[in-house]
Amino acid sequence: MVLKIKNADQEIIDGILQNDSKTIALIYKNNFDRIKSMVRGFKNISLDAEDVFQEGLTRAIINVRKGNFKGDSSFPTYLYGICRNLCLKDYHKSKAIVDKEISDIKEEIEEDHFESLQLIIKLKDLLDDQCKRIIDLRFGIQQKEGVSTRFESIAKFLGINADNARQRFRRCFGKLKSLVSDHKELNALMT
Amino acid sequence: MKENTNNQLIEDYIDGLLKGKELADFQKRLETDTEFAKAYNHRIKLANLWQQADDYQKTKAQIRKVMDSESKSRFFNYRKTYYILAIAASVILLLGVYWLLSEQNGGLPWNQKNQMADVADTITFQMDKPDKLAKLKYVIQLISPENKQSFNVGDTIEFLWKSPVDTARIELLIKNRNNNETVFQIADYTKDHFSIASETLTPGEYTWSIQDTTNSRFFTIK
Repeated sequence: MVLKIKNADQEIIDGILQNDSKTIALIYKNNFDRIKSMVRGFKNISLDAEDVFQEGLTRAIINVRKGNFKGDSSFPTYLYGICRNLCLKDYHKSKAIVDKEISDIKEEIEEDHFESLQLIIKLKDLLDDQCKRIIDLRFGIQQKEGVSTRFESIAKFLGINADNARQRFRRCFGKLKSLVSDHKELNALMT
Repeated sequence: MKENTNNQLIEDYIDGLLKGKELADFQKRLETDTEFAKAYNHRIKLANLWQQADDYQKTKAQIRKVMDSESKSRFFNYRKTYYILAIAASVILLLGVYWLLSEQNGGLPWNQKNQMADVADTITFQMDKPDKLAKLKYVIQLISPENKQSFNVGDTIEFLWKSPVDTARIELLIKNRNNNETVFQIADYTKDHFSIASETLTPGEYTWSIQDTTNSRFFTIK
């Protein structure tokens, strides 16, 4: 893969990869007003400029971390495009025109992916704290993607034995699967 | 029951607990048993989504925190600018009001001093409403009759002076020039002139002035 990222963007990309809040502040300072004007240009959308910027930057940052930002455009243009797509999607929520119009930023992929993440967060809120905790531990939150934590380690951490940890996880995972299967959109995304 | 067993098997496989034949059977089932493979993929996909959702949520929260802090500092900067502008505007307004008041009272203080010194036949006059205007000084100019002006019996003598303030209590004094006795005295709040018939006074020389002033003019009635 040939990266076309310009020097001006490289510092931003580095900052994002280092999870640097100062970089986020800099992005906000340099881009928020422009995005705010763009959002105000859309009439009758339910999103406000802050929400659009927050969601757009979250997606941009995650895409950068995943290596989906290839530098075809500058980072500010990339971010602007994502935010504009969010507004367009909200504006044309019930119109077929959406897919045709949301195509100007090729790098803003996996729209449905971000929606499925939002759905998972909603489902997570339906679980009790004990279940959230053990699923967090087993699914390796704060670990590399795809890495699970062994039940022995979870048991040590929670001060219970490994069999209890297994049972608790099995019960909680069952609840989660049931919530997912009850949710048509997410269930469709999972299969 | 079967689902529980399958789930248990998948978790054991993830933890690396399956060995030998158990492991080989598991891998073969993944290739041949569609439902089992689907359950396995579902488990892996859900775990990945769970992790990514957590990352998404934390990133979003981090961004909101930065946005709140930045917009707060922006707000304080705007407010600081607003205060500076408001103070500047107030100072300009006060200077403007001061200048206007000064102009009405004969110019700015430093100019006023010189002006007063240059005008002959004028006096400074303390206002009769000290609560409002005690600090303001005005000049009264004696205009007519001019010095040495003569009147014949039967003439009307018009006394004219100029005061910038209408409400000043002006007291006109006419004195006999020889013995300095007051022969006529009249006070008024609004007038800047007063007329008397020359018959009011006997022929002779007189001085006229405004009370409490040092300047005077003299005139003659033949």
